Amino acid sequence: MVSKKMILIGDFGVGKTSLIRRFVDNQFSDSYLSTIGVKISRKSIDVDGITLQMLIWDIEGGTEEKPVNTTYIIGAQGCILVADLTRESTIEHISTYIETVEKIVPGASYVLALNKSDKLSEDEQKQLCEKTENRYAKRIEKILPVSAKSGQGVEEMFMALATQTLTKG
Amino acid sequence: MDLRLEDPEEIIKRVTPLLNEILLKNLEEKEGRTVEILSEYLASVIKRASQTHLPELSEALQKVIAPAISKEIANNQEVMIDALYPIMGGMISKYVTQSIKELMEQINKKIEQGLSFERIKRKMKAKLSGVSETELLLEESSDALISSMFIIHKETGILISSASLENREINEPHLVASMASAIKDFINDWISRSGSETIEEVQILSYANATLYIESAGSVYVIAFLDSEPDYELRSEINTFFASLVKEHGSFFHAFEGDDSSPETKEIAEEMRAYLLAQKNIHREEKGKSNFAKYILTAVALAVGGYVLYGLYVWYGEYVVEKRIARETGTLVSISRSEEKVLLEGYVDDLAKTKRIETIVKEMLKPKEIVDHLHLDVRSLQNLMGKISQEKAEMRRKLDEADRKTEQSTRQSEALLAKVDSLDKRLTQQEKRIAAFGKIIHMDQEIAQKLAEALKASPYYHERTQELDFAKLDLYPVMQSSFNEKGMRVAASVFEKYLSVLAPYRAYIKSIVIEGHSDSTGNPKRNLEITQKRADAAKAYFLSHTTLRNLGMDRLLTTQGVGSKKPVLVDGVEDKNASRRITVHFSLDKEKILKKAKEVLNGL
Ligand SMILES: Nc1nc2c(ncn2[C@@H]2O[C@H](COP(=O)(O)OP(=O)(O)O)[C@@H](O)[C@H]2O)c(=O)[nH]1
Ligand SMILES: [Mg+2]
Repeated sequence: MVSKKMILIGDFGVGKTSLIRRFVDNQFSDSYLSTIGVKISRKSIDVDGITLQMLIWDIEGGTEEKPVNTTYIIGAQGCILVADLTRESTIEHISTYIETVEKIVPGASYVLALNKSDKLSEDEQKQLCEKTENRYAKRIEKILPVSAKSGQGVEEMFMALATQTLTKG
Repeated sequence: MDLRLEDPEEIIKRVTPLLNEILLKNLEEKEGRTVEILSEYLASVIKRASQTHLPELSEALQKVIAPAISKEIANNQEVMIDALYPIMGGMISKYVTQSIKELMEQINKKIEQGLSFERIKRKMKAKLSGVSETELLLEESSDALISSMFIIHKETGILISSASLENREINEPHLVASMASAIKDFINDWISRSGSETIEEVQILSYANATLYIESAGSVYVIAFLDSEPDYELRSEINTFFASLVKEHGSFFHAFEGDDSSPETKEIAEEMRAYLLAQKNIHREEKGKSNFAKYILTAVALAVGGYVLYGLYVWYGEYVVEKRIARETGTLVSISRSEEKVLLEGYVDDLAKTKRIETIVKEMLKPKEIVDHLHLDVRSLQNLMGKISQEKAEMRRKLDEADRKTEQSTRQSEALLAKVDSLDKRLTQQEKRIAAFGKIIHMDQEIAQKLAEALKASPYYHERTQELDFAKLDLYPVMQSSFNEKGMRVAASVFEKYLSVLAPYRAYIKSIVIEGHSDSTGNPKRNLEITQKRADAAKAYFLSHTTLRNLGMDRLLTTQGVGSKKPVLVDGVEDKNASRRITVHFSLDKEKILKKAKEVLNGL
C-alpha cells in the first residue's frame, strides 16, 4: 500500500476540522488539536486500482497570535488549502500559505477548497470561484466550492488531491 | 446464545429483543443502574459478537443502547465511560453511527488521556530542574516488556514497517505512527524554542496503557511500545537492535516514498518480530534481576569520590604522611606546612586518633609546632570509604554469586554430557544387538550361501533345495542295499563338506536326514524296506570315516527310506539307475532360532 502525508491548512474557522470529519475512515479525537496543534486522520482512496492511504494532518493555527507550526508541514506531498467563501480575507491569505508550504516542501500538489458553499447562492459561488481562479489557477491545480455541512464537493476534492499526488509519483 | 449466524438480519432480530428486555426493562426497574447492567449482561455478548459481526452488532446496539445511553450519559458520564471502555475500546468506534458517536468520542478521549501531556511536561520540567535522567529511570521498575515496534519515516511520519507480539497489535498503526511522530516533532520544536542545549531529546511517551520509547535514527524514528518505562539497560539493548536495523536498512529508509509493499519492509518486520519474541522469552527470566543503572550510578559516584581525594593529596603535597596516617588510623587528613608550622585538617571518627596522628606527623615532619584542626565528624570522608568498601563487598558478593551460578551450570552441562555419553553407548549396544538379531533371523540364508560356496563345483549339490542328491553315482544295483564302494566314497567326501558347513550351526539344526530311494519297479513295501536299509548303510559308511565323525554331528544324523516316492525323471521318463540312490537334506529348528533372536534383541 502506498501512504502519503497530506496537510490541511488555512485560516482559523474556515472549516478544516469539519471537512476532515466529513471524510475520513478514522481519526484521533479533537482533544489533540488544542494540545499539540495538529490532528491526524486516515483515509484510503482507490485511484485507478491503486489504493492510496492518505494521512491527513489538520494543522491548527492560522491566526495572528498563533501562526501554524511549520514543522508539521515537513514531508507533505499534498496540501489542501481551505478558505471560507463567506470571508474574503481567508481567500486572500491563501497566497501566504502557499509561500510557507512551498518553502518547506517545494513541488507539493495543491487543491483549494472554498468551504461553506451552503451559505451562498449558486451565482455567488460561481462569481467568487471565478475570481479566485483568476488569482490562483497558475499555482493550484484544482479549485472548487465545497461544504462540510452538506458534503458538496468534499469527496471530489480529496479525490483530486489523491490523483494529483499519485501522478506526480 | 449463538451469534455466529451468517445472516446479519437474523442477528439483529435476535439480539435486539434480548437487549431490549434486559436493558430497558431493567433500566426502568432499577433506575441508574445502566452501567452495572451493561457490564453484567453484555460484556461477553458484545465481545463475542464484535469479533465476527461488527457492523451488524453496532446497528443492533444503536437501536437499543442509544436511548439508554443518552438518558444515562447526562448524569453518569464518567462511570459510563469507564465501564464501556474495556469492553469496546476503540474497536467498534469505526462502525458506530451518529447517535452513539458522542459516547464514543468520550471513550476516545479517555483513551487519549493516557497519552498524558502532564507527564511529558513533568519529565521535561524534571530535566530542566536538573534531576538526572538516570535518577528518573531508577524510580521505574525495570522489567518492561516490548510488545510492538514501529519504524516511522521521520520526514512524513509514515509507517514503514511494524511488528507486534501476538494479540498485542496496535490499533490503527498508521494513525498512531503519524501521531507519535507529530508529538515528537512538537516536543522537539518546544525544546528547540526553549533555547536550552543541555536537554536530551525526549524519548519516552505514554499512550493509553503503553509506553513509547522513541529513538531518532537517521531518516527514521524507531519506536518500541512497552508496558512500562524501560530502564537504562533495556534502552541500550533496544538501541543496539535499532542501530543494527538502521545500519542494515538505512539506505532503504532514506529512499522510502510511502510504499510499504516492498519485500524489504516485510524482512524488517520479520527481524523485529524475531527480536520481540526473543526478548519476550528473556523477559520471563529477567524478573528480579538487579538494576544495572544503580550500579552505574554507584560506580560514577565512586569514581568521582576517588578523583576528589586524589586531588586533595596532591594539592597539599604531603602525600606520604597523609597516606601513612590513612593507613594506620584509617583517617584522611590534609597536611599543609608553612615554615616550621604544620597545619592538620580533617575529620576523625575517634578523638584518640588525634594523638596518634600527631605522633606520626612529629616523627616524619619534625615540625616546631602543630596546628591541629582535626574535627570529630562521623560524616567524614571515612564514611565514604566505608561506603566504598561496602559497595565493593556487595559487588564481590554479586560476582561470587555469578561465579557460583557459572559453576553450577558447568556442572549441569557436565552431567548432561555424561547422560548423552551413556545414551550413545546404549545406542551402539542396541545397534549391535539389532545386527546380531538380523544375523540369527537370517541364518537359513547364511547357511545356503555358505553351502553354495563350499559345494559350487559339486554336481551333487542342489542350490535351490540345499540338498545333496547322489543319483549320478549309480550307487545301487537293482533291488540291493549294498552299494558300489567307489561311488559311495565320492558321496562321503561330498557329505563331509556338507556337514562341515553345517557344523557351526549345529545348535539350531533339528536334523540332517539321509534318505534312501528305489526305482519304481517292484513291490512298494519291499522297496520301502530296501531304501531304509540303503539309508542306514550309507549312514554307517559315512560315520566310519574319522574326519567325518570328528565333526560331532552324529546325533543329528537320521535315516529314512522313502521307497519309490521320488524317482528321477529325464524328459518325463524314469532313469531307473539314477532313481536308486541316496539324498541328504537338513532342517532348521525355527523355534529355537526365533527364541535366540528374541533373547539377543532383549540383551539377555
Ligand atoms: N454552514 C457551514 N458551516 C461550517 C462549514 N464548515 C465548518 N463550519 C462551521 O465553521 C466553524 C469552524 O469550523 P472548524 O472546522 O472548526 O474550522 P477550522 O478552525 O478551520 O478547523 C464551526 O462552527 C463549523 O460548524 C460548512 O461547510 N458550512
Ligand atoms: Mg480546526
